[in-house]
Amino acid sequence: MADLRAAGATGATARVTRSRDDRFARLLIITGAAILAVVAMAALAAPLLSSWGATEIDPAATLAAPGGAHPLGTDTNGMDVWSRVLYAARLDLGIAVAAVALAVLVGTLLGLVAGYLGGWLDDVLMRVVDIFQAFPTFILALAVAALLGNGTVNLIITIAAVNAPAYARLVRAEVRTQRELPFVDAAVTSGASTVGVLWRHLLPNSLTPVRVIAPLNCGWAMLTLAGLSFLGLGVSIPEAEWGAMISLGAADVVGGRWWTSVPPGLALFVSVLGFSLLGEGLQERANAKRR
Amino acid sequence: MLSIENLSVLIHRADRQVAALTDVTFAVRPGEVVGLVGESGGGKSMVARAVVGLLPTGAQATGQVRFGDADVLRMDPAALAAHRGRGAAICFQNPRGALSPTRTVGRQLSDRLVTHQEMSPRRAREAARELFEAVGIRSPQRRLDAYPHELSGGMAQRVMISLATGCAPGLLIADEPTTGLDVTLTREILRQFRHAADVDGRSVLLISHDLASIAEICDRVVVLYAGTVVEAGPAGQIFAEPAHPYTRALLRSVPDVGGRPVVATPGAMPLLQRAPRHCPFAARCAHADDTCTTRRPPATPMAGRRTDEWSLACFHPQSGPVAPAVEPAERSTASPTPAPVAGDAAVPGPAVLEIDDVHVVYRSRFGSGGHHALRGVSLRLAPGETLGVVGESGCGKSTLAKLIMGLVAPTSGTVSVAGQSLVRQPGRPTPRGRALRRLRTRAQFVFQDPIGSLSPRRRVGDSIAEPLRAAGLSAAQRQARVAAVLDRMELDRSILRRYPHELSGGQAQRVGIARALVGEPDLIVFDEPTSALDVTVQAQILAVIADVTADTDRASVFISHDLATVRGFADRVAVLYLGRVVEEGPVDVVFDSPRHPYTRALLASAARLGGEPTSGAAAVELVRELEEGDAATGCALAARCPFVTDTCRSQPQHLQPYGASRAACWRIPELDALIGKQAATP
Amino acid sequence: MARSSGAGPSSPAISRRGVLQLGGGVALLLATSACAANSDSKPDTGASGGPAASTLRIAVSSYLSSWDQDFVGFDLTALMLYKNIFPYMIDYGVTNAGDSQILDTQNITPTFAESFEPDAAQKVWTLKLRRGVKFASGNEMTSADVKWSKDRAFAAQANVAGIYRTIGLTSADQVKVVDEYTVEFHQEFPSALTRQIQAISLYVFDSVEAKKHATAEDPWAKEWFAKNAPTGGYYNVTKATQGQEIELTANTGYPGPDPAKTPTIRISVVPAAANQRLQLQAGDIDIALGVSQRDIEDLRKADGIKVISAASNRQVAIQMSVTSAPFDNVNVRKALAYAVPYEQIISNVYGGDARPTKSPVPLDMPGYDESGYPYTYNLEQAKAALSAAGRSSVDSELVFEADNEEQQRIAVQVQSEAAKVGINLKLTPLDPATLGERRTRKNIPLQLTSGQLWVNDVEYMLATSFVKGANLNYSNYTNAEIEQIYEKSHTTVDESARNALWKQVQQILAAEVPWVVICQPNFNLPVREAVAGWVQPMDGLARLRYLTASA
Repeated sequence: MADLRAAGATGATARVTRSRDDRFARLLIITGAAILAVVAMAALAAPLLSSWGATEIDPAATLAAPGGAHPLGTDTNGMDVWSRVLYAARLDLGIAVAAVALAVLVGTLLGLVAGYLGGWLDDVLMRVVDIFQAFPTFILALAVAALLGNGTVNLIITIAAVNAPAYARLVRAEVRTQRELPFVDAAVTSGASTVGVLWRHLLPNSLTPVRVIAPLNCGWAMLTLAGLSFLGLGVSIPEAEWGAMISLGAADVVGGRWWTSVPPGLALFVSVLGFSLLGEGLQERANAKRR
Repeated sequence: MLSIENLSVLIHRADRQVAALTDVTFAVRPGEVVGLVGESGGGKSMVARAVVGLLPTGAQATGQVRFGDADVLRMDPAALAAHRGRGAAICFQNPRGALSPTRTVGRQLSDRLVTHQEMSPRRAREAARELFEAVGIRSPQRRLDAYPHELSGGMAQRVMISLATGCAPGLLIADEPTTGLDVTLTREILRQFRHAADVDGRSVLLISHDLASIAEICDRVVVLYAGTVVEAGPAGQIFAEPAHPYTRALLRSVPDVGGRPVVATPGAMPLLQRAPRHCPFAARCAHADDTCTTRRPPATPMAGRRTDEWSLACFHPQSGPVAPAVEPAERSTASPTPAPVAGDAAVPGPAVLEIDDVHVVYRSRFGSGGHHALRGVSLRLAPGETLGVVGESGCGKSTLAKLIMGLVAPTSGTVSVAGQSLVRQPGRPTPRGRALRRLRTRAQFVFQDPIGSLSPRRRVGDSIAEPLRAAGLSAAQRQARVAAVLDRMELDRSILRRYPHELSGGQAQRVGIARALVGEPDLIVFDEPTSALDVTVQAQILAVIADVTADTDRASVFISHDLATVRGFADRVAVLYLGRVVEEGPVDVVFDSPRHPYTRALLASAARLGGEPTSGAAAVELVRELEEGDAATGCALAARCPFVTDTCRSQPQHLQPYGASRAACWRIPELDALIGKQAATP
Repeated sequence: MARSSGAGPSSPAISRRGVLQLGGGVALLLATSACAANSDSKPDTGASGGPAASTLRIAVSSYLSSWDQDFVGFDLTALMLYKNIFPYMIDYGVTNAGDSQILDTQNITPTFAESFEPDAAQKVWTLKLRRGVKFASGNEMTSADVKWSKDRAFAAQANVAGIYRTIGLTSADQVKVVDEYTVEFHQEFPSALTRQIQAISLYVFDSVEAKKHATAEDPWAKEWFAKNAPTGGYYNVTKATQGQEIELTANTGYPGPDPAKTPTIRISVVPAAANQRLQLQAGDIDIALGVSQRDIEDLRKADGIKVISAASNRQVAIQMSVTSAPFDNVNVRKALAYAVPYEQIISNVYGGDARPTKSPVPLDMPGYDESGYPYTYNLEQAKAALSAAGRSSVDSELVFEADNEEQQRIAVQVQSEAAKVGINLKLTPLDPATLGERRTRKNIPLQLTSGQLWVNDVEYMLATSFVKGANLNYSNYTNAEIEQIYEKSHTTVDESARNALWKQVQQILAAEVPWVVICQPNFNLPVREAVAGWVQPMDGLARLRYLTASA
C-alpha cells in the first residue's frame, strides 16, 4: 500500500511490487534452464570432453586416485570416472525426459477422457489411478521395474507408469472446470464432435498446470531412475548411469576412495537442482500472474 | 461531509502508466444520495477507493479528499484505520466474493461492531441481529449463523449493506450494488440506500452504470468520462435534459421499457496515459470542433445556477430532452411480419422451433428429488420472428436456452428445430454422428459472456469458422464465408489473428454473433448478450442484433432479464416464472397492458429513466422473496401473489387467451378491480 | 554340500540392504575413512584380555536358511555352522603345512565314534559308537540314531544320498544295525574315497526327539529340523535369533580329541562387508567372514588385525552350456576361452592374490596336469576360433550372483574383452532363488561359478561335476569316454593307474572345453591379532573348536 502522504508531498513514484516477484521467477527459470543446458551440452559433447569410453577398461588402473590420465580416477572395474559421469548424463537426462513425456501423454489422455465424458468411465479410470497413487512412488517403481525387468525402454515405461496418474488427475480437474465454461458449449453447438472438442478446445486450455509441473517432475524421475539403478533394478551392468555408479562406488568410500561415488552424486544433485529451479520458477510465474 | 477537490490519480504499472482520474471535483452533503455514473474504466471505482484510502500499489494521488476536516490522502495509518468504516464504508460489487467465506456473516458483522463501536461481543450479536432486520433480512436470527455461500445474491447484498452501515459511517459508498441482481431485488436494495440517507442521515455515494436504477433514488448525479467530471447536477435535470453531449449519448444508449429506440454512439472510451490536454470526448462527439481538440474545457456552472448545483465541462452545451417521446404504438422498423392476433394459430410457414409441453427435471445424483426446471413449456416460432423470453433468475431461462440448443434433453415432451430433434426423444428417429453435428449448426447460440465463449487458446478466425467444420466445407470456402460475415459485423480482417483476451467486450460479442451467423442457421438464440457489456457498447451491439434479428429467413429467440432490451426487437414475448410460461403475446400488448400478476409486478419494478409509470396497469407488489416460494402444484406464483386463493394453490394454471395475449391466471378479469381496491386501502 | 564357494572374504560384498544402511553415514565415513586408510591406531576396547576372552565373536554375511543339513540348499553360513554343531562320527585330523596348520584329509579319525574300520575286502565298514555320549535332550547316541539318520537320507533323497553313490551305497538296507552301538555299511564296491566321503556324510540326528515331531505327512520331521538346531556336536546352539545372532556353547560332553578351546562363540549377522570391516577394525568382532577383496587389501595394513592367508583349491570358472546355443558349438567355446583376460583378472580383481591354473582339475589335487587347459588370453586366436565356427558375432548372457562384488568385477572384465572379438554378452546378476530356479530349468548359457571340492580326488570331481546328471554339472556336459573312465576309477586303487586315468580326462576336457577356468584365488581371512589356532580347512568352512581369542 503506497504511502500516499509521501507520494503526495514529494511526488515520488512507487514501483509496483508485482515486478519484484516477476523478476524472482525469471531468475529461477533462467538459472534452472542454464544449469540444464550445461548438463545437456556436457552429455552431448562427452566424446570431446573425455578421452575414455563409457565402459572402457584401463587394465593398468583400478580404483586409481584422481590425476594423470584419469582426472577423476577410476572405479573398481578400471573405468574412467570422469568419462562415465559425462556419458551417464545421456542416459539420465534422456530417460527422465522421455519418461515424463510419456507420462504426460498417457496421463493427459486419460484425464481428458475421464474429465469430459464423466460417468462410469470416469469412475473406473479414477479408481485405477487411486490404486496407483495408493503406493509410495518409489515402492511402486520398484514393483513395476521388477516386473518389467531392466533395459532402457522398460525403465522409461516404469517411470512413466508411476508418474502418469498424477497428470491424469491434474488434467481431469482442469477439464472438469473448463467444460463448464461457455466456450465448450459454443463448440458443441457449433457442431464439433467430441474428439474435436477435446482436441481443439479442452486440451490446449487444460495444459497450463501440466506445463508447470512437468520440469519439476523430470527431476523426480531422474531421482527415481538413480534409485532404481542403485538398487540394481535399473540399467544393466556396467552401463554408465549416475545411480548405478553411486551404488558401485558406495563401498569404496569406507576405504577412503571418495572419487567413485561422489562425482556422480554431485552430477545428480546438480541436474535435479536445475530441474527444480526451473519448475519452481514456472510455478512462481504462474502464481504471480494470478496475483 | 465529503469534499473532493482536484483529485488526480496516476497509476504506474510495469510497462505503462494510466491517468485514472484527472481534476475530479465534487461534494456530497449529509443526507444526500449522489450517483456517480460512467462506463467501466471511467474512474468511478478509483474515486471510491480514494475516499477510503485504498488506492492500488503504484498509485500517485494529488489533490484533496476532505472528509470533515481531515484530508484522507494525508492521513497517517492510525487515523486511516479509524476513518475506514467509521468515516466512510464501502459496499463492494460482488457481495459473496467480498465476504470472508469461512466465517459466518453474523461473526463478520459483530467483528466490525466490536472493532469500530467497541461493543462487547454479546451486545454486538444483538446489534447484528437488529441490523439484519433493518436491512430487510427475514428470520435474522437464523441468518446470523449462515456462511456467505449459503446466501442468495440478494441476501448477500443486504448483508454487505448491513456490514457497511453497521459501523455507523458518515458516508456510505456503494460500488455497483445491483449488478447481477434481478429487477425486483434491485428496487429493494436501492430503497435501502434511500432509507439510509433519509432516516439515518448518512451520505450515500452510489456508483453504477445502471442509469435507470439510479435515476429513481439519487438526489444529484456526477458523470465521469475518462477520469474527468463532465457534468454534475441535480438528478432530475441531468436525466431529463442533460447538457453535456456525452451524458446525452449515454442516455440514448440505454434501452427503456417504454420502448424508446436505442441510438448507439460509435467508438469507445479511451484509456488515458496522462492528464488530457483536450476534451476527452472530442473524438466521438458530434458537436466537436477545433477548440475541443486543443483545450480542455473547465468545469463551469450552468447559466443562472451556483457551482455546486449544476456544472458542466464542455464548450458546446446542448439543451432540450434527449429524444422525443415515443408512443407505445409506434415502434422502430422491425419485422415486416404483422403481429399475430389470437394465439399462434395464424403464424404462417413451417415452424423453425417447436417446443411441445416440455418438462425438464435435473435429477440429483443420489436418490430421489431433483430440480424441476421447466414445467409444461410450449412455444412455436416461425421464420423471421423474434421471440423474447423474460424472467428473473431461477425461472428456467438458461434451461430453455440449453433445451433449444440440444444441450439438454427434455424429460418429457418434444423439441424440434427445423423439423428435427437434436436429442434423443421417444418415438422419433434421432440423427447421430455426422448428421447430428450438421444438424446442430441449424441452431446457433450467442452467449452472455462474449470473451468466455471463445476458446482462450484459439485465434478468432478459428473460432468463427468452427460451425463450418461440421458442415464439411473446404478451407477456402470457410475463409470466404468468414470474410463475408466479418464485413457484416463491421470487423476488420486483422481481428482474425487475435486471441480472445486481446479483444474488448464489444469486439468479442461481435465475433460471437459472427460465429453464430457464419453457418447461416435457421435459428439464433441470444442469451443475455449485452448484460456483460458497457452501456455505450451495449447500444452498439444492440444495433447489430437488431439488424440480425430483422433477417427474414431466420428466427431468433432473445432471452434476457432486462425488460427494456427485450422490448427493442422482440415481436412476441413470453414471461417465464419458475419454469412455467405465465404470459405470452405480442410485445407491445404484454408490456403496455400486462395481464398476469407477475408480469405486472415485473413491469412495475422495472426502472425507468423517464420516471413515469406505465400507462394502463397499476402497480402490483409481490409479497415475500423468490427463494421462499416454490409451488409444485397449483399456480407457480401462489406463494407470493397478493391475490392468492385456495383455487390458485390447488389447481395448476394453464395459458388462457385474454385479448391479444395469453396468460395463466384465472383471476385476471377481476384483477383490475382488486388492484384498485388494494390501492384504495392503505 | 559337496562344494563350497569360498566361505571366506570374497563372499557377497555389499547387499542392497547394507548399502541402504550406509547411505546416511557416507559423509561421516569420508572423515573416518581417511583415518582408516592411514591406519591410525585405535585403542582396542575390550577386544582381547579380560572377561571378553571367553567369547569369540564372529560376523557372517547372512543368517542360515535352514538347520537341516540333509535338505539345505547352497548356503555357506549354514554349511559352516553344520561342521561345528552336528555330531560327526569321524572327522579330519590336523597337520602342519609350512608354518600353518591345515586339516589333514589323509588322516581321518573317529571323533564321536570309537572306531570306523573296513573289513579285508574293504566293502563292509563297521562303525563302533562310544557309550554314554548324549544329545542335549539327554538321549544317548546309539546305532538307532545312525540308522534313522541314514534311512532318512536314502528315503527322502537327502543331499548325502547323492554323495553316497560314489562309494556304492544306494539304499538304506546297506546300512545294518548290528547292536546298540555297532552299525555296518555294506558298499557295493570297495572305494578309495570311503573315509573322505564318510567324514562329510556321517552326521547323526537325535532320532528319539525327531520321532516326537514326525507326522503322517512329514515322517522324517523335515519341518521341525529345518527350524530347530541339531544338538550333540562340538558346540551346542544356546540362542538363535532369526536374522540376527546365534550363540554357541562348547559341548562338554564331547568325548573325542581336540575339544572346543573357546567356551562361547557369538555369531552375528552383518550383511554389509563394509560394516564387518569397520567392526573388525574397531574390535567389536574377532573374525569377519564376509569382507570384500578390496577391504582385505586395506586391512593388511591396519593395526591390530592380521590376515590369515593360504593357498586354496577354490576355483573360479565360467561354465558354458553345451546343450544350448550359441555355446553348443565347441569353436565358440574356444573363442571365449581365448578371449578371457586371465592375467588382468588376477591383477585387477584379486590384486595378484590368486594362482593361474591350467586345468579344470584344481592345482593341489593329485593328478593335476597342465595340458588340461591350453587356452591363454589371445584375441587373434579367439577371432579365428569364432570364424571357424562360421560366425562373426555372437550374442549371449553371462549370469552371476547378485551382490557378489568379486563375480561382478570378473563379469565386467570378461564382457569388455569378449566384445572385442565379437562375443556380446549381457550381464545378468541373479538373486539366489532365481539363480536356483534357472539352474533347474537349465536355461543359463554362461554362468560364473566359484567353489571348491570337499574331497581332494578327481574321481569325486567327476562325480560332482562332469558326469551326466551330476549335481554341479551346470554345463550339462556328457562324454562317453569320461563316463567309462569314471566307472573304471571306482575299482582302480593304484595311484599311478589313477593318475593315468586323470591325464586322459584332462586331455578330453581340454579338447571339449566345457568350462573356462579362470584362476584359483587364495584364501584370505582377516582376524584380530589375538585370534589364534586357525586350521585351514580344505573346504573353506571354518572349524571353530580350534580357535581362541587370546594369544
